[in-house]
Amino acid sequence: MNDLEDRIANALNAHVDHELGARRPAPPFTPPIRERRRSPWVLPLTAAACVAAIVGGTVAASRLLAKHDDAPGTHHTTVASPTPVPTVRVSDARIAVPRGWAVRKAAAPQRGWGWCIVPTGAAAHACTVSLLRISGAPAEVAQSFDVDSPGVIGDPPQFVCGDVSAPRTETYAVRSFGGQPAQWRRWDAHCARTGHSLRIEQWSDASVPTWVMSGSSVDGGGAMSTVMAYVAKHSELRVTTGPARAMDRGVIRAVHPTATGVRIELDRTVLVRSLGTIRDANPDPATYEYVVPRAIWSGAHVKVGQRIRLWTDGRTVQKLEPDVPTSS
Amino acid sequence: MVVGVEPRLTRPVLEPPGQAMFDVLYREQWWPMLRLATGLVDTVGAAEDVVQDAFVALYRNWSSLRDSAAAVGYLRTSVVNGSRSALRRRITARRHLHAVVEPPVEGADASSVLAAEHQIVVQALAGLGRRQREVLVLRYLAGLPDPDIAEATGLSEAGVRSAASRGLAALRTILKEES
Repeated sequence: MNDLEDRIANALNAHVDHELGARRPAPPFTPPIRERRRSPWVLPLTAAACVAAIVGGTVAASRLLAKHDDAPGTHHTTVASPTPVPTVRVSDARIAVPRGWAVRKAAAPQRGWGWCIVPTGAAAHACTVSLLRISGAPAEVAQSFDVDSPGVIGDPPQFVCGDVSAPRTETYAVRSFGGQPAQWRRWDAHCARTGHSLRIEQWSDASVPTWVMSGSSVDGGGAMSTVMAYVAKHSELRVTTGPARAMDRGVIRAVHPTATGVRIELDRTVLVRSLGTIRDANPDPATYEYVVPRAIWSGAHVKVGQRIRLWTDGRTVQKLEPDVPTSS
Repeated sequence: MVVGVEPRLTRPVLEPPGQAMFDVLYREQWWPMLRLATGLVDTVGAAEDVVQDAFVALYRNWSSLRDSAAAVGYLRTSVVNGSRSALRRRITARRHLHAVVEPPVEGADASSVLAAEHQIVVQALAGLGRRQREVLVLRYLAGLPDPDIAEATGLSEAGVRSAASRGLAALRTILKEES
Protein backbone atom coordinates (compact mmCIF):
# COMPACT_ATOMS: atom_id res chain seq x y z
CA MET A 1 0.00 0.00 0.00
CA ASN A 2 1.21 3.48 -0.74
CA ASP A 3 0.91 6.43 1.56
CA LEU A 4 -2.53 7.48 0.36
CA GLU A 5 -3.89 3.96 0.72
CA ASP A 6 -2.48 3.79 4.26
CA ARG A 7 -4.18 7.06 5.09
CA ILE A 8 -7.50 5.80 3.77
CA ALA A 9 -7.27 2.49 5.62
CA ASN A 10 -6.25 4.19 8.86
CA ALA A 11 -8.95 6.84 8.59
CA LEU A 12 -11.71 4.34 7.81
CA ASN A 13 -10.74 2.06 10.66
CA ALA A 14 -10.42 4.98 13.08
CA HIS A 15 -13.81 6.29 11.97
CA VAL A 16 -15.52 2.94 12.49
CA ASP A 17 -13.74 2.39 15.82
CA HIS A 18 -14.89 5.84 16.90
CA GLU A 19 -18.49 5.14 15.90
CA LEU A 20 -18.78 1.62 17.28
CA GLY A 21 -16.39 1.56 20.21
CA ALA A 22 -14.99 -1.71 21.46
CA ARG A 23 -16.10 -4.97 19.91
CA ARG A 24 -19.33 -6.30 21.35
CA PRO A 25 -21.01 -9.64 20.91
CA ALA A 26 -23.84 -10.06 18.46
CA PRO A 27 -27.28 -9.44 19.93
CA PRO A 28 -29.65 -12.42 20.05
CA PHE A 29 -30.98 -13.31 16.63
CA THR A 30 -34.62 -14.19 16.43
CA PRO A 31 -35.38 -15.92 13.16
CA PRO A 32 -38.29 -14.82 11.03
CA ILE A 33 -41.17 -17.15 11.75
CA ARG A 34 -44.03 -16.43 9.48
CA GLU A 35 -44.31 -14.61 6.23
CA ARG A 36 -46.56 -11.61 6.23
CA ARG A 37 -49.98 -12.38 4.97
CA ARG A 38 -51.31 -9.06 3.85
CA SER A 39 -49.89 -7.53 0.75
CA PRO A 40 -50.32 -3.88 1.82
CA TRP A 41 -48.05 -4.59 4.73
CA VAL A 42 -45.35 -6.22 2.73
CA LEU A 43 -43.94 -2.74 2.33
CA PRO A 44 -40.69 -2.41 4.25
CA LEU A 45 -40.62 -0.69 7.55
CA THR A 46 -38.54 2.08 6.21
CA ALA A 47 -41.25 3.08 3.79
CA ALA A 48 -43.41 3.78 6.77
CA ALA A 49 -40.58 5.76 8.29
CA CYS A 50 -40.74 8.21 5.39
CA VAL A 51 -44.34 9.08 5.92
CA ALA A 52 -45.17 12.50 7.18
CA ALA A 53 -47.58 13.64 9.81
CA ILE A 54 -49.66 16.30 11.38
CA VAL A 55 -50.71 17.58 14.73
CA GLY A 56 -50.61 20.86 16.53
CA GLY A 57 -50.01 22.38 19.87
CA THR A 58 -47.30 23.44 22.22
CA VAL A 59 -44.71 22.00 24.46
CA ALA A 60 -44.04 19.06 26.59
CA ALA A 61 -42.44 16.20 24.87
CA SER A 62 -43.24 13.81 27.54
CA ARG A 63 -46.22 13.23 29.74
CA LEU A 64 -44.34 10.81 31.73
CA LEU A 65 -46.47 9.89 34.64
CA ALA A 66 -44.98 7.23 36.72
CA LYS A 67 -45.65 6.15 40.18
CA HIS A 68 -42.42 4.71 41.32
CA ASP A 69 -40.71 6.07 44.34
CA ASP A 70 -37.36 4.61 43.60
CA ALA A 71 -34.73 7.28 43.51
CA PRO A 72 -31.42 7.00 41.78
CA GLY A 73 -29.14 5.30 44.17
CA THR A 74 -25.92 3.45 44.27
CA HIS A 75 -23.38 3.89 41.57
CA HIS A 76 -22.21 0.79 39.81
CA THR A 77 -19.76 0.02 37.16
CA THR A 78 -20.72 -2.36 34.43
CA VAL A 79 -18.26 -5.01 33.48
CA ALA A 80 -19.91 -6.22 30.31
CA SER A 81 -17.87 -4.03 28.01
CA PRO A 82 -14.12 -3.66 27.94
CA THR A 83 -14.48 0.02 28.77
CA PRO A 84 -16.43 0.33 32.02
CA VAL A 85 -19.34 2.72 31.77
CA PRO A 86 -20.60 4.26 35.00
CA THR A 87 -24.25 3.52 35.65
CA VAL A 88 -26.85 4.59 38.17
CA ARG A 89 -29.37 2.17 39.59
CA VAL A 90 -32.89 3.32 38.81
CA SER A 91 -35.52 0.92 40.08
CA ASP A 92 -34.46 -2.44 38.66
CA ALA A 93 -32.41 -0.98 35.81
CA ARG A 94 -28.94 0.42 35.50
CA ILE A 95 -28.99 3.66 33.61
CA ALA A 96 -25.84 5.05 32.05
CA VAL A 97 -25.58 8.75 31.32
CA PRO A 98 -22.82 10.67 29.55
CA ARG A 99 -20.25 12.61 31.49
CA GLY A 100 -21.75 15.87 32.75
CA TRP A 101 -25.27 14.45 32.97
CA ALA A 102 -27.20 13.04 35.91
CA VAL A 103 -30.34 11.01 36.65
CA ARG A 104 -32.71 12.34 39.27
CA LYS A 105 -36.25 11.75 40.36
CA ALA A 106 -38.68 13.92 38.43
CA ALA A 107 -39.58 17.01 40.40
CA ALA A 108 -42.93 18.02 38.92
CA PRO A 109 -45.91 16.31 40.56
CA GLN A 110 -47.16 14.91 37.27
CA ARG A 111 -43.82 13.23 36.82
CA GLY A 112 -44.02 11.52 40.18
CA TRP A 113 -43.57 8.11 38.60
CA GLY A 114 -40.46 8.87 36.67
CA TRP A 115 -37.00 10.27 36.44
CA CYS A 116 -35.24 12.98 34.53
CA ILE A 117 -31.88 12.93 32.81
CA VAL A 118 -30.43 16.42 32.93
CA PRO A 119 -27.09 18.19 32.68
CA THR A 120 -25.37 18.26 36.04
CA GLY A 121 -26.45 21.37 37.92
CA ALA A 122 -29.59 21.93 35.84
CA ALA A 123 -32.50 23.78 37.44
CA ALA A 124 -34.81 21.73 39.62
CA HIS A 125 -37.67 21.85 37.14
CA ALA A 126 -35.51 20.90 34.17
CA CYS A 127 -36.14 17.55 32.54
CA THR A 128 -34.24 17.27 29.31
CA VAL A 129 -34.93 13.57 28.93
CA SER A 130 -37.70 11.78 30.80
CA LEU A 131 -37.53 8.19 31.90
CA LEU A 132 -40.65 6.25 32.74
CA ARG A 133 -41.14 2.78 34.11
CA ILE A 134 -44.54 1.11 33.74
CA SER A 135 -44.99 -2.09 35.70
CA GLY A 136 -48.30 -3.14 34.19
CA ALA A 137 -50.20 -2.47 37.39
CA PRO A 138 -54.00 -2.10 37.06
CA ALA A 139 -53.86 1.67 37.54
CA GLU A 140 -51.44 1.99 34.66
CA VAL A 141 -53.38 -0.36 32.44
CA ALA A 142 -56.49 1.67 33.15
CA GLN A 143 -54.83 4.69 31.57
CA SER A 144 -54.46 2.84 28.27
CA PHE A 145 -50.88 3.86 27.74
CA ASP A 146 -49.83 3.54 24.12
CA VAL A 147 -46.25 2.90 23.08
CA ASP A 148 -47.05 4.19 19.58
CA SER A 149 -47.81 7.67 20.88
CA PRO A 150 -45.48 10.45 21.95
CA GLY A 151 -45.41 10.57 25.73
CA VAL A 152 -47.05 7.12 25.95
CA ILE A 153 -49.46 8.22 28.68
CA GLY A 154 -51.95 11.04 28.46
CA ASP A 155 -52.53 13.43 25.59
CA PRO A 156 -49.64 13.67 23.16
CA PRO A 157 -47.65 16.89 23.12
CA GLN A 158 -48.82 19.36 20.55
CA PHE A 159 -47.08 22.02 18.59
CA VAL A 160 -49.21 25.02 17.82
CA CYS A 161 -48.35 26.96 14.72
CA GLY A 162 -50.45 30.08 14.88
CA ASP A 163 -54.01 28.84 14.91
CA VAL A 164 -53.30 25.56 13.18
CA SER A 165 -51.33 22.44 13.83
CA ALA A 166 -47.81 22.22 12.51
CA PRO A 167 -47.10 19.43 10.04
CA ARG A 168 -45.36 16.64 11.85
CA THR A 169 -43.24 13.89 10.39
CA GLU A 170 -42.69 10.60 12.13
CA THR A 171 -39.72 8.32 11.81
CA TYR A 172 -39.79 4.81 13.23
CA ALA A 173 -37.23 2.10 13.73
CA VAL A 174 -36.49 -0.85 15.97
CA ARG A 175 -33.45 -0.22 18.13
CA SER A 176 -31.87 -1.63 21.24
CA PHE A 177 -32.60 0.14 24.53
CA GLY A 178 -30.60 -1.13 27.46
CA GLY A 179 -30.13 -4.46 25.74
CA GLN A 180 -33.84 -4.87 25.03
CA PRO A 181 -35.61 -4.49 21.67
CA ALA A 182 -37.32 -1.14 21.61
CA GLN A 183 -39.39 1.07 19.38
CA TRP A 184 -37.56 4.24 18.48
CA ARG A 185 -39.50 7.18 17.17
CA ARG A 186 -38.84 10.75 16.25
CA TRP A 187 -41.44 13.36 15.51
CA ASP A 188 -40.41 16.56 13.81
CA ALA A 189 -42.67 19.55 13.35
CA HIS A 190 -41.82 22.85 11.77
CA CYS A 191 -43.89 26.00 11.86
CA ALA A 192 -43.12 28.10 8.81
CA ARG A 193 -45.00 31.02 10.31
CA THR A 194 -42.85 31.30 13.41
CA GLY A 195 -39.76 29.60 12.06
CA HIS A 196 -39.65 27.31 15.09
CA SER A 197 -39.29 23.58 15.01
CA LEU A 198 -40.12 20.93 17.56
CA ARG A 199 -38.46 17.58 17.86
CA ILE A 200 -39.73 14.77 20.04
CA GLU A 201 -37.79 11.58 20.36
CA GLN A 202 -38.83 8.46 22.18
CA TRP A 203 -37.48 5.01 22.94
CA SER A 204 -39.90 2.48 24.37
CA ASP A 205 -39.32 -1.09 25.42
CA ALA A 206 -42.83 -2.47 25.61
CA SER A 207 -42.13 -5.59 27.63
CA VAL A 208 -42.98 -5.78 31.34
CA PRO A 209 -41.89 -3.63 33.00
CA THR A 210 -42.07 -1.09 30.20
CA TRP A 211 -39.35 1.53 30.00
CA VAL A 212 -39.92 4.70 28.03
CA MET A 213 -37.34 7.39 27.45
CA SER A 214 -38.45 10.55 25.73
CA GLY A 215 -37.46 14.14 25.27
CA SER A 216 -38.46 17.20 23.35
CA SER A 217 -36.59 20.16 22.05
CA VAL A 218 -37.56 23.38 20.33
CA ASP A 219 -35.19 24.56 17.62
CA GLY A 220 -32.65 21.94 18.52
CA GLY A 221 -32.54 18.36 19.60
CA GLY A 222 -29.18 17.10 18.46
CA ALA A 223 -27.67 17.02 21.93
CA MET A 224 -30.84 15.50 23.36
CA SER A 225 -30.78 12.79 20.72
CA THR A 226 -27.15 12.07 21.42
CA VAL A 227 -27.76 11.71 25.14
CA MET A 228 -30.68 9.38 24.53
CA ALA A 229 -28.65 7.27 22.15
CA TYR A 230 -25.93 7.01 24.79
CA VAL A 231 -28.41 6.01 27.49
CA ALA A 232 -30.01 3.44 25.19
CA LYS A 233 -26.68 1.95 24.23
CA HIS A 234 -25.00 1.71 27.63
CA SER A 235 -27.85 1.13 30.07
CA GLU A 236 -28.99 -2.27 31.28
CA LEU A 237 -32.69 -2.86 31.59
CA ARG A 238 -33.87 -5.76 33.68
CA VAL A 239 -34.76 -9.13 32.34
CA THR A 240 -38.40 -9.16 31.36
CA THR A 241 -40.62 -10.35 34.18
CA GLY A 242 -43.31 -11.80 31.93
CA PRO A 243 -43.35 -13.37 28.50
CA ALA A 244 -45.88 -10.95 26.99
CA ARG A 245 -45.59 -7.29 26.11
CA ALA A 246 -47.23 -4.78 28.39
CA MET A 247 -49.12 -3.27 25.49
CA ASP A 248 -49.65 -4.44 21.97
CA ARG A 249 -51.64 -3.58 18.89
CA GLY A 250 -52.47 -5.65 15.88
CA VAL A 251 -54.96 -7.70 13.94
CA ILE A 252 -56.44 -10.86 15.40
CA ARG A 253 -55.51 -13.73 13.10
CA ALA A 254 -56.92 -16.64 15.06
CA VAL A 255 -58.79 -17.39 18.26
CA HIS A 256 -58.42 -20.67 20.14
CA PRO A 257 -60.78 -21.49 23.02
CA THR A 258 -59.19 -22.54 26.29
CA ALA A 259 -60.54 -23.65 29.65
CA THR A 260 -60.38 -20.13 31.05
CA GLY A 261 -61.05 -18.03 27.98
CA VAL A 262 -59.26 -17.81 24.67
CA ARG A 263 -55.80 -17.71 23.25
CA ILE A 264 -55.44 -15.28 20.39
CA GLU A 265 -52.85 -14.95 17.65
CA LEU A 266 -52.06 -11.31 17.10
CA ASP A 267 -50.41 -10.03 13.94
CA ARG A 268 -48.64 -7.00 15.34
CA THR A 269 -48.92 -3.64 13.67
CA VAL A 270 -47.11 -0.42 14.38
CA LEU A 271 -49.06 2.77 14.08
CA VAL A 272 -47.51 5.58 12.07
CA ARG A 273 -49.45 8.80 11.90
CA SER A 274 -48.60 10.82 8.85
CA LEU A 275 -49.81 14.01 7.24
CA GLY A 276 -53.26 13.63 8.65
CA THR A 277 -53.47 9.97 7.75
CA ILE A 278 -52.81 6.89 9.82
CA ARG A 279 -50.93 3.93 8.52
CA ASP A 280 -50.10 0.55 9.88
CA ALA A 281 -46.59 -0.63 9.41
CA ASN A 282 -46.07 -4.32 9.87
CA PRO A 283 -42.32 -4.82 9.98
CA ASP A 284 -42.49 -7.90 12.13
CA PRO A 285 -43.32 -11.13 10.31
CA ALA A 286 -44.01 -12.95 13.58
CA THR A 287 -47.39 -13.52 15.13
CA TYR A 288 -47.79 -13.30 18.90
CA GLU A 289 -49.94 -15.27 21.29
CA TYR A 290 -51.90 -13.77 24.15
CA VAL A 291 -54.01 -15.43 26.80
CA VAL A 292 -57.30 -13.62 27.29
CA PRO A 293 -59.57 -14.42 30.26
CA ARG A 294 -63.12 -15.22 29.29
CA ALA A 295 -64.64 -12.15 30.95
CA ILE A 296 -62.34 -9.79 29.11
CA TRP A 297 -62.80 -11.54 25.78
CA SER A 298 -66.57 -11.63 25.95
CA GLY A 299 -66.72 -7.99 26.98
CA ALA A 300 -64.48 -6.79 24.17
CA HIS A 301 -66.81 -7.74 21.30
CA VAL A 302 -64.01 -8.25 18.81
CA LYS A 303 -63.47 -10.93 16.21
CA VAL A 304 -60.90 -12.40 13.86
CA GLY A 305 -59.62 -9.85 11.36
CA GLN A 306 -60.26 -6.93 13.64
CA ARG A 307 -57.56 -4.62 14.86
CA ILE A 308 -57.27 -4.33 18.61
CA ARG A 309 -55.16 -2.91 21.41
CA LEU A 310 -54.45 -4.92 24.49
CA TRP A 311 -52.64 -4.54 27.79
CA THR A 312 -51.18 -7.28 29.95
CA ASP A 313 -49.50 -7.80 33.28
CA GLY A 314 -46.73 -9.62 31.46
CA ARG A 315 -48.63 -12.88 31.19
CA THR A 316 -52.37 -12.44 30.86
CA VAL A 317 -54.39 -9.82 29.03
CA GLN A 318 -55.87 -7.34 31.49
CA LYS A 319 -57.69 -5.16 29.02
CA LEU A 320 -58.60 -5.50 25.35
CA GLU A 321 -60.47 -3.15 23.05
CA PRO A 322 -61.03 -2.44 19.36
CA ASP A 323 -58.39 -0.08 18.07
CA VAL A 324 -59.77 3.08 16.58
CA PRO A 325 -56.73 5.31 16.29
CA THR A 326 -56.95 9.06 16.15
CA SER A 327 -54.63 11.26 14.15
CA SER A 328 -53.09 12.93 17.19
CA MET B 1 -36.43 -7.34 13.39
CA VAL B 2 -37.79 -7.62 16.90
CA VAL B 3 -35.75 -9.64 19.29
CA GLY B 4 -37.59 -10.60 22.42
CA VAL B 5 -38.87 -13.27 24.70
CA GLU B 6 -42.45 -13.06 23.66
CA PRO B 7 -44.52 -16.14 22.97
CA ARG B 8 -43.91 -16.44 19.27
CA LEU B 9 -45.51 -19.25 17.36
CA THR B 10 -42.17 -20.77 16.72
CA ARG B 11 -41.76 -22.58 13.47
CA PRO B 12 -38.07 -23.08 12.79
CA VAL B 13 -37.10 -22.41 9.23
CA LEU B 14 -33.78 -24.21 9.36
CA GLU B 15 -33.09 -27.81 10.16
CA PRO B 16 -30.73 -28.34 13.12
CA PRO B 17 -27.45 -28.65 11.12
CA GLY B 18 -28.22 -25.50 9.17
CA GLN B 19 -29.30 -23.73 12.34
CA ALA B 20 -26.02 -24.51 14.06
CA MET B 21 -24.01 -23.28 11.08
CA PHE B 22 -26.09 -20.15 10.91
CA ASP B 23 -25.60 -19.49 14.61
CA VAL B 24 -21.83 -19.75 14.28
CA LEU B 25 -21.83 -17.54 11.22
CA TYR B 26 -23.99 -14.97 12.97
CA ARG B 27 -21.71 -14.83 15.99
CA GLU B 28 -18.60 -14.56 13.87
CA GLN B 29 -19.79 -12.26 11.13
CA TRP B 30 -22.12 -9.85 12.91
CA TRP B 31 -19.35 -7.55 14.06
CA PRO B 32 -17.36 -7.48 10.77
CA MET B 33 -20.58 -6.81 8.88
CA LEU B 34 -21.50 -4.05 11.31
CA ARG B 35 -18.10 -2.46 10.76
CA LEU B 36 -18.55 -2.66 7.02
CA ALA B 37 -22.05 -1.19 7.17
CA THR B 38 -20.84 1.59 9.45
CA GLY B 39 -18.30 2.49 6.82
CA LEU B 40 -20.99 2.60 4.15
CA VAL B 41 -23.86 4.44 5.85
CA ASP B 42 -23.99 7.55 7.97
CA THR B 43 -25.28 6.36 11.34
CA VAL B 44 -24.68 3.38 13.56
CA GLY B 45 -28.42 2.82 13.88
CA ALA B 46 -28.80 2.54 10.14
CA ALA B 47 -25.81 0.20 10.01
CA GLU B 48 -27.36 -2.06 12.65
CA ASP B 49 -30.58 -2.20 10.69
CA VAL B 50 -28.77 -3.03 7.48
CA VAL B 51 -26.88 -5.86 9.14
CA GLN B 52 -29.96 -7.24 10.83
CA ASP B 53 -31.83 -7.24 7.53
CA ALA B 54 -28.90 -8.96 5.85
CA PHE B 55 -28.94 -11.79 8.38
CA VAL B 56 -32.70 -12.15 8.15
CA ALA B 57 -32.41 -12.43 4.38
CA LEU B 58 -29.61 -14.96 4.73
CA TYR B 59 -31.67 -17.01 7.14
CA ARG B 60 -34.56 -17.11 4.73
CA ASN B 61 -32.35 -18.13 1.82
CA TRP B 62 -30.04 -20.46 3.68
CA SER B 63 -31.18 -23.56 1.86
CA SER B 64 -30.27 -22.10 -1.50
CA LEU B 65 -26.64 -21.38 -0.56
CA ARG B 66 -23.77 -23.51 -1.77
CA ASP B 67 -21.72 -23.41 1.45
CA SER B 68 -20.81 -21.17 4.37
CA ALA B 69 -18.24 -19.32 2.28
CA ALA B 70 -21.02 -18.39 -0.09
CA ALA B 71 -22.99 -17.22 2.94
CA VAL B 72 -20.36 -14.63 3.80
CA GLY B 73 -20.43 -13.33 0.24
CA TYR B 74 -24.20 -13.26 0.37
CA LEU B 75 -24.10 -11.27 3.59
CA ARG B 76 -21.59 -8.81 2.19
CA THR B 77 -23.69 -8.24 -0.91
CA SER B 78 -26.77 -7.77 1.26
CA VAL B 79 -24.96 -5.24 3.41
CA VAL B 80 -23.78 -3.26 0.38
CA ASN B 81 -27.24 -3.29 -1.18
CA GLY B 82 -28.91 -2.49 2.12
CA SER B 83 -26.55 0.41 2.70
CA ARG B 84 -27.36 1.81 -0.73
CA SER B 85 -31.06 1.62 0.04
CA ALA B 86 -30.60 3.16 3.47
CA LEU B 87 -28.70 6.11 2.07
CA ARG B 88 -31.20 6.55 -0.74
CA ARG B 89 -34.08 6.60 1.71
CA ARG B 90 -32.20 9.00 3.94
CA ILE B 91 -31.68 11.41 1.07
CA THR B 92 -35.34 11.19 0.13
CA ALA B 93 -36.40 11.76 3.71
CA ARG B 94 -34.10 14.74 4.04
CA ARG B 95 -35.63 16.34 0.99
CA HIS B 96 -39.00 16.20 2.70
CA LEU B 97 -37.62 17.18 6.06
CA HIS B 98 -35.52 20.07 4.86
CA ALA B 99 -37.13 22.46 7.30
CA VAL B 100 -36.25 20.53 10.40
CA VAL B 101 -33.00 18.82 9.58
CA GLU B 102 -30.27 19.79 11.98
CA PRO B 103 -26.56 19.78 11.50
CA PRO B 104 -24.85 16.88 13.24
CA VAL B 105 -24.01 17.58 16.86
CA GLU B 106 -20.90 16.23 18.52
CA GLY B 107 -21.84 13.36 20.77
CA ALA B 108 -22.12 14.04 24.47
CA ASP B 109 -20.19 10.85 25.04
CA ALA B 110 -17.45 11.73 22.63
CA SER B 111 -14.62 11.26 25.05
CA SER B 112 -12.23 10.72 22.21
CA VAL B 113 -12.57 12.83 19.12
CA LEU B 114 -11.71 11.44 15.74
CA ALA B 115 -8.35 12.86 14.74
CA ALA B 116 -8.50 15.76 12.33
CA GLU B 117 -6.41 13.90 9.78
CA HIS B 118 -8.89 11.01 9.78
CA GLN B 119 -11.86 13.34 9.60
CA ILE B 120 -10.46 14.98 6.50
CA VAL B 121 -10.04 11.65 4.76
CA VAL B 122 -13.47 10.36 5.82
CA GLN B 123 -15.12 13.55 4.63
CA ALA B 124 -13.27 13.36 1.34
CA LEU B 125 -14.44 9.77 0.93
CA ALA B 126 -18.01 10.85 1.60
CA GLY B 127 -17.74 13.28 -1.28
CA LEU B 128 -16.95 10.57 -3.81
CA GLY B 129 -19.53 8.90 -6.00
CA ARG B 130 -21.32 5.93 -4.57
CA ARG B 131 -19.51 3.30 -6.60
CA GLN B 132 -16.05 4.66 -5.90
CA ARG B 133 -16.77 5.05 -2.20
CA GLU B 134 -18.11 1.52 -1.90
CA VAL B 135 -15.11 0.05 -3.64
CA LEU B 136 -12.66 1.96 -1.47
CA VAL B 137 -14.49 1.06 1.74
CA LEU B 138 -14.57 -2.61 0.79
CA ARG B 139 -10.93 -2.56 -0.16
CA TYR B 140 -9.45 -0.50 2.67
CA LEU B 141 -11.86 -1.08 5.53
CA ALA B 142 -12.87 -4.68 4.88
CA GLY B 143 -9.55 -5.49 3.22
CA LEU B 144 -11.19 -7.44 0.42
CA PRO B 145 -9.51 -8.48 -2.81
CA ASP B 146 -10.98 -7.23 -6.07
CA PRO B 147 -12.89 -10.43 -6.93
CA ASP B 148 -14.75 -10.27 -3.61
CA ILE B 149 -15.44 -6.57 -4.09
CA ALA B 150 -16.78 -7.34 -7.53
CA GLU B 151 -19.12 -9.93 -6.08
CA ALA B 152 -20.33 -7.60 -3.34
CA THR B 153 -20.91 -4.59 -5.57
CA GLY B 154 -22.08 -6.30 -8.74
CA LEU B 155 -19.25 -4.76 -10.74
CA SER B 156 -16.82 -6.60 -12.94
CA GLU B 157 -13.27 -6.91 -11.65
CA ALA B 158 -12.21 -4.40 -14.27
CA GLY B 159 -14.95 -2.12 -13.06
CA VAL B 160 -13.69 -2.46 -9.50
CA ARG B 161 -10.14 -1.56 -10.55
CA SER B 162 -11.42 1.36 -12.56
CA ALA B 163 -13.60 2.68 -9.73
CA ALA B 164 -10.77 2.30 -7.25
CA SER B 165 -8.32 4.06 -9.50
CA ARG B 166 -10.64 6.97 -10.16
CA GLY B 167 -11.61 7.17 -6.51
CA LEU B 168 -8.00 7.28 -5.40
CA ALA B 169 -7.22 9.94 -7.96
CA ALA B 170 -10.14 12.06 -6.81
CA LEU B 171 -9.14 11.62 -3.17
CA ARG B 172 -5.56 12.57 -3.95
CA THR B 173 -6.79 15.79 -5.53
CA ILE B 174 -9.18 16.61 -2.70
CA LEU B 175 -6.61 15.92 0.00
CA LYS B 176 -3.97 17.93 -1.82
CA GLU B 177 -6.37 20.87 -1.87
CA GLU B 178 -7.14 20.39 1.81
CA SER B 179 -3.49 20.53 2.74
